[in-house]
Amino acid sequence: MKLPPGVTSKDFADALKQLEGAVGKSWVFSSDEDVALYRDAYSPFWGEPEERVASAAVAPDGVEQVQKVVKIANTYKIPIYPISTGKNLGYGGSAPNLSGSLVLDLKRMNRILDVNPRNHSALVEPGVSYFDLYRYIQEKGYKLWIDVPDPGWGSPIGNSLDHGGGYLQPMYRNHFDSHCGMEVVLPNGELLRTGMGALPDAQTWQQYKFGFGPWIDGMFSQSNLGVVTKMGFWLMPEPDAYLTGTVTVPKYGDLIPLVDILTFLENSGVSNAMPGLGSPLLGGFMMPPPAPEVTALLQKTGGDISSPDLQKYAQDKSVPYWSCTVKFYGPVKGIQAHWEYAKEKFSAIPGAKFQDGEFYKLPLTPEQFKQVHKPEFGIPSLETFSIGARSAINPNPSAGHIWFSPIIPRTGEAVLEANKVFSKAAKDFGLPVLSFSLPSTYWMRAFIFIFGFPITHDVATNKKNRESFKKLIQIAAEHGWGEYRTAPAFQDAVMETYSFNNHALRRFHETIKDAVDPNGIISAGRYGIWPKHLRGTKA
Amino acid sequence: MASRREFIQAGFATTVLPMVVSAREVSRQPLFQVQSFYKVVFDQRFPASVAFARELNQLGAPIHAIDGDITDLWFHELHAVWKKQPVGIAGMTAHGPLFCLERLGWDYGMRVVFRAEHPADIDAEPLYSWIIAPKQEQL
Repeated sequence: MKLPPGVTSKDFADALKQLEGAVGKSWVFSSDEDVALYRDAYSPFWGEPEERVASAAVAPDGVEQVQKVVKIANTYKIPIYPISTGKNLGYGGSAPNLSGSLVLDLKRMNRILDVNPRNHSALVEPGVSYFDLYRYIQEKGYKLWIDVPDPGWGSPIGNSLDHGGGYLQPMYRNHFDSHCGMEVVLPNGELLRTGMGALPDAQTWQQYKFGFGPWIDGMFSQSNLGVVTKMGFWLMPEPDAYLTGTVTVPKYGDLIPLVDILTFLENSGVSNAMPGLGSPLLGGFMMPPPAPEVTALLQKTGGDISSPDLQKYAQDKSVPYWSCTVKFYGPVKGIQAHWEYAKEKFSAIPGAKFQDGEFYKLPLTPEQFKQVHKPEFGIPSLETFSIGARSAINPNPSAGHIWFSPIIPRTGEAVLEANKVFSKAAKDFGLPVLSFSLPSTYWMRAFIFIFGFPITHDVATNKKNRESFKKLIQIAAEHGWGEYRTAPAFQDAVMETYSFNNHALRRFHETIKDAVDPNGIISAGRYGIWPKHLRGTKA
Repeated sequence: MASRREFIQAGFATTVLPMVVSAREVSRQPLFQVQSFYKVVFDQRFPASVAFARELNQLGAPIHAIDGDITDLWFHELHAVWKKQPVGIAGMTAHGPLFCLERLGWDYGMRVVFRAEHPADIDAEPLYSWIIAPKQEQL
């Protein structure tokens, strides 16, 4: 058994005994076999001494038991690492930042405390999964959608606290943005409620976020200042219908007005579902592969997607450089009018062409249900695991991946620039990844690139990939692009790049951490925030 | 009588490795009788998996077809079944479905107690035959 750092085996054994008294013997896990379940399946340190592993795990059944666990952890100075369902694969899973931490597994706290079908909200505990919430809503017959990530087996609380995203309307797609009120066990064991929850007997905890005074909810996301035990979420009323349409544009430079018009449509609320950018010429994710002639031209020019030869090919063959699929939820007449309006706007780009896409009156028929990308209809799914991911760049998909996911400006210029920068970096590092890519549109006001770095079970390859990953973080930062989320192995490196005014932000985090959690027991090192006694030794 | 491990290795594994070689030995074992599986999961995209399921179905095992996605099986059946009692399942699938079922099973005290990889061609996914059973029935 890996011991928590600085804790004797006798103290740890005593603490486990007390934990058994607090939550019941069968809910304290200390055998190697049980603790192994908390390994990060996608750890970039797989099988190496640096792999972050837990010492043991404890699964409380309610808030009072969480408070007891926190008090025991304080008594013995044992670092604890709360997880909801531990399914954020690619960003760390259920393994702690600090090896030897005690995982606080909140899976038994799986109560759906309230769903309000009239004002479209829910209040849940951290062990509630998207599947649980979806099932509950279906059984009740409520016309409500939940915004789910893909895959959808995680927890609304865990995913939103880690700044995860989904696929519905923009106000729901950003899962932390769509929360309303939380309950937190502080590091000293005290119970706190935020927003209107601070008002005893409040009737509006899930209706108004801010309550009175400073709004502190953000301090508990990507953070280590407490254990979130309840959280409210706003849900989306089931719309009448769903419609998509695609615009294609012919020239390399058309990406710039294409993005600008898309941004206008989204920020105006005209396009209110998650759009998709593509390149019929260049292929890429979810697009048909490029023609052999295009591949040959790209090889000839070292991957230069702006080469005159490529532009001439696109023009001669009438293959559009770019495409954008815009999507709409709402009443039938409304979304049809919005698509017409979008076409008007995109028509400002010479040569723009349009194609009608999917149209569904909702709810989906059983046949439609089978065909659609379920998260875009608020339906949790594990379908993504059925995609055979074996490829030249990922010969062993079963070993997993980590995500390199920088935020870049929402402009066509930034997309083209980022591709140049990351393609050059890939070549410099000898990486077979980071070929031409278009960003994801999870967030309204910024783009995000999401590159999967394959994880292997080969130590040398993982070491090389880790070094490349850290260099990419640095290269991105030098261009003003920062990671939005990362696996524990890289959280120090990312936080290091958020360095304005001599790391004023991190120093502020540390000041709060020292004040709120003086023993440093909660999630030491999470998102680069270390307790005082470990500071400087880990970064 | 063969031990459970011997049964698994000699009986089950050799039964499924050639995919359609008889699975009857499985049904003769006192533990993990084919009929005791709640479902044998197979992926209808892969002929070997279909053959595997057909063989075990003939021996009395209920079967469940997937097309790589276990969502439906999980949401409509397994979640409720495992919530009531831990019952074993078996299957032959690609890694993804097994990965999901294994992890979902952990919270219900289920473990993968047998796993064998069947190598595939370079551009294809390897298949795995497997048994997920209650933790206390670990080999």
